[in-house]
Amino acid sequence: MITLKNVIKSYIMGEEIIYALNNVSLKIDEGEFVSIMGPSGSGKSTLLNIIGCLDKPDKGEVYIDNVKTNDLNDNQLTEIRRMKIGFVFQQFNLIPLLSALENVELPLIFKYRSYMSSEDKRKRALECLKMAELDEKFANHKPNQLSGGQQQRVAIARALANNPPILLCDEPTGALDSKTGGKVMELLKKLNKSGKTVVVVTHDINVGKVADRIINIRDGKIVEE
Amino acid sequence: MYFEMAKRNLKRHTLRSILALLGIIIGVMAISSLGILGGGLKEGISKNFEGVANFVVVFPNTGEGYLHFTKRDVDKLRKLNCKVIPICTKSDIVYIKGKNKKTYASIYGIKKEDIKYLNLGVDNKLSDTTIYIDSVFSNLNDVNKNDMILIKNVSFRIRGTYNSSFFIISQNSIILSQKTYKRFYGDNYSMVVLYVKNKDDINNIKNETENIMNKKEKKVIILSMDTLLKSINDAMDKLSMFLIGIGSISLLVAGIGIGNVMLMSTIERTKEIGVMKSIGASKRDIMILFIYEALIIGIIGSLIGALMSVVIGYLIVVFLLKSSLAWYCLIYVLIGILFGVGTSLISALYPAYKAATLDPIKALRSE
Ligand SMILES: Nc1ncnc2c1ncn2[C@@H]1O[C@H](COP(=O)(O)OP(=O)(O)O)[C@@H](O)[C@H]1O
Ligand SMILES: [Mg+2]
Repeated sequence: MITLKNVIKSYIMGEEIIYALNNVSLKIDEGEFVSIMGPSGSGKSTLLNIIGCLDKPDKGEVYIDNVKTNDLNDNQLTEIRRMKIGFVFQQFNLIPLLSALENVELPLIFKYRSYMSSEDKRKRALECLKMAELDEKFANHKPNQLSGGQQQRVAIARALANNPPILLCDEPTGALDSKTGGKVMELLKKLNKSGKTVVVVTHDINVGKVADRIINIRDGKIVEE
Repeated sequence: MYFEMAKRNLKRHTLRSILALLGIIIGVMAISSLGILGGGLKEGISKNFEGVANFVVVFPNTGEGYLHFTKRDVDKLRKLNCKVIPICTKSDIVYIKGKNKKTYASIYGIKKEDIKYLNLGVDNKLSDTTIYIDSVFSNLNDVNKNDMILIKNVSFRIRGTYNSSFFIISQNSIILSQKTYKRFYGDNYSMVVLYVKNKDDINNIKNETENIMNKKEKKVIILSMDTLLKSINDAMDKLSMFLIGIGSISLLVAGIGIGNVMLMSTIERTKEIGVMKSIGASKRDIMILFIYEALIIGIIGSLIGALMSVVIGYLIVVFLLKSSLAWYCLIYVLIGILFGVGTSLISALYPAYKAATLDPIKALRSE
């Protein structure tokens, strides 16, 4: 499902070159639940963003569903994000002006525009909120009227909207207390059981061990699996 | 939803949006009401000239010592293929009966049957014992229809009043029948008016007149109103453009205002833009979102501005210029709307482009 071959990503900071990813190769199969662990600054987010086609590597090859993404142009990458990838972030990153439901509808709007009726979009968004186990009564709440856990559930519902096979989560529990975080991980586990390939970035071992496989990364290099 | 989001984003900073809106309103108002003002001026002035557009006026060249036309000169002109109207004029003292008052006036002698060509708005039924007076004479001397005036000790009844017409009949004047005039002052003509039915023939007539009268020496001066009218119209069009140009400057300022608002908005929403990209927004989606915001401001602002400029333009034209608002003035309102919407669109392009091409990674990392 996801394959990286000798991926290098570096940044120039003044005089020196920082390798955010230094020759990373990995393979994640369909239906896996993988966590990527490492201390802050070790390159986890960079890795996730490259998998999610938000970022491009300097060198190396990236395959998503057997499609080599290195050579794709901007629109093609956007298309892959729409079809294959659902993102969940540490800070939830909901659009503050939109209600929970509207936030979930947004990816549908980007993907389908008017080819899907508003009612169908609404229906699909409600379905996703249900999958993310958020009570329907919060559907019309604005993000700032929701707790952190609830917001993260909206964000997960939003990631599910276009029914992507892959969920990429960057520290999804990082802004939550351990109990709420645990519940979010439980939800991700459930989604994985239902067929999604889930990749979770974290520096919290209690979170990481929910996954079937843990990839440890340090200074841009995979140190052990 | 794009529209809805754009609307909510504008509402998020109400004051800022209102200021941008105000800029566009003022800009559009400036363009359209200045345009209307120019149009109204032109309309008013051309109206004054409308009645004389068909005339070619021939004057004796006083610089060469020709003070009058003779009967022979007029007869030469009669060969022209147009209506020839010889006009005599002289200044004289007249006596206002019943007021016991003497006053000066320009006295014109025009053939009874020629008067109707001059568009004076009188009944064209002058007799040898009646006269027409112009409104200035009427006001100055407080005389009106059916009052009596003595000229050379002969008494005349006022048959009607006219507004002195540009270039031909001066202000503070009296029109007598030519027969009467000649009895008092002799037959020397001070100008000949050629009435040309078809304006396209005016140039021909002018050339022929030139041939007939000015062959040996420059005996006459030939003026036609259509060239004058044309240059006045040209000048008025230039004035309108100039006024619109001034209006455009305020719109330019408004455009910079909108651009600024949008740019601030992109910077503030950097993170949001990154998030939208990560959940599948294309460059185009982001552009559209920002352009919608500008369009909302542009369209609402332009419509309000247009409405206000119609009202203001109407007031200016009707009460200040005392002329009527012509329908074609709405063109200036349309121009105003077009410029208003166009300005907001153009000024949004750069911020929208900037937002659309933000690096999603940097955008997501920003706080
Ligand atoms: N845009 C950037 N410019 C410069 N350095 C960057 C940039 N993005 C990431 N880095 C650097 O790359 C390294 C990896 O960052 P990141 O992937 O965010 O780590 P993690 O998510 O594990 O904390 C860090 O040293 C970080 O400072
Ligand atoms: Mg990180």
